[in-house]
Amino acid sequence: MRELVEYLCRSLVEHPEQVTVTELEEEAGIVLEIRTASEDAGRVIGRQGRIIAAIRTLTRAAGQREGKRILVRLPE
Amino acid sequence: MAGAARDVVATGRTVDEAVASGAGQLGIRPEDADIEVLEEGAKGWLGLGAQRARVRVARPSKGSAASRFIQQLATILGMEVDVDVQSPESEGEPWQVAVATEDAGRWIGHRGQTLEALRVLCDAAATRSSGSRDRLVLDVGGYRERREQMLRSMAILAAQRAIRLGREIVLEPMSPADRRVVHLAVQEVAGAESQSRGEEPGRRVVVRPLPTAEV
Repeated sequence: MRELVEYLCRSLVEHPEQVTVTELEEEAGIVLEIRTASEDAGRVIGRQGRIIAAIRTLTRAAGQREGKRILVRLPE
Repeated sequence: MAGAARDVVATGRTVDEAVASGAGQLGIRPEDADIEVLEEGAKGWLGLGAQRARVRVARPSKGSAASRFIQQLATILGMEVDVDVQSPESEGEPWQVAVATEDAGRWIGHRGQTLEALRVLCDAAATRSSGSRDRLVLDVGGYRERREQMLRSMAILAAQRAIRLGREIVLEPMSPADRRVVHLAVQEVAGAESQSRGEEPGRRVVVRPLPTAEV
């Protein structure tokens, strides 16, 4: 799942080499934390959060089969 | 990206080097490029018989970029897909990208939610790598086509009913794309008109008879 989120982010930004996705196990489930170059943050979020919402929807769909709860998080 | 060259022929010691050089000249990423290998090149021996690799590297079209995005995604998810791309018939028309896969339901999701997410991401990624703002329609397993036909017939029935009853008919909340299909279908029915009302995500189409139809 980490690989999926990383691919999606890299294909959207201007600095793919600066994208990292960290996988953390938390009580709520698996957390995937996205980091990008600061100027790329808007490209991953999108207007009115449309892009990040789509990343979450797709990740949820992909994770369903594995029966895990996956949260995609952006740094503050 | 108007005016930028669409393709270049580049050379290198290996195909990879040639592609990297060509992509660099176009200002695109090697992995985004459309590549045609003209000469594989040869290493030679002690500098004898060595031949440089030659490739044609092109900035991808919107459709080619979208197709590559979907195929890469399928590889990551371990899915087999078949992607069919139709270029726009005329200026302003969208690219049509149709994906066939055994696992269509998973990519469509409840009421097409996953498909819509996929379209948003595919469009954004393909816009970046191709530099083209052309519109893109994405379908998986023929879902969008079936849904469009269903919405059209529902819209036409609602319009006829509004005329017959002489009052407005309020439809269920729909996505902007679905509402667009409904508005276009209602326009085809003489004596009826439609309008969107309310706020997202509860925004819905209202179909009503034209005032003149009552006379």
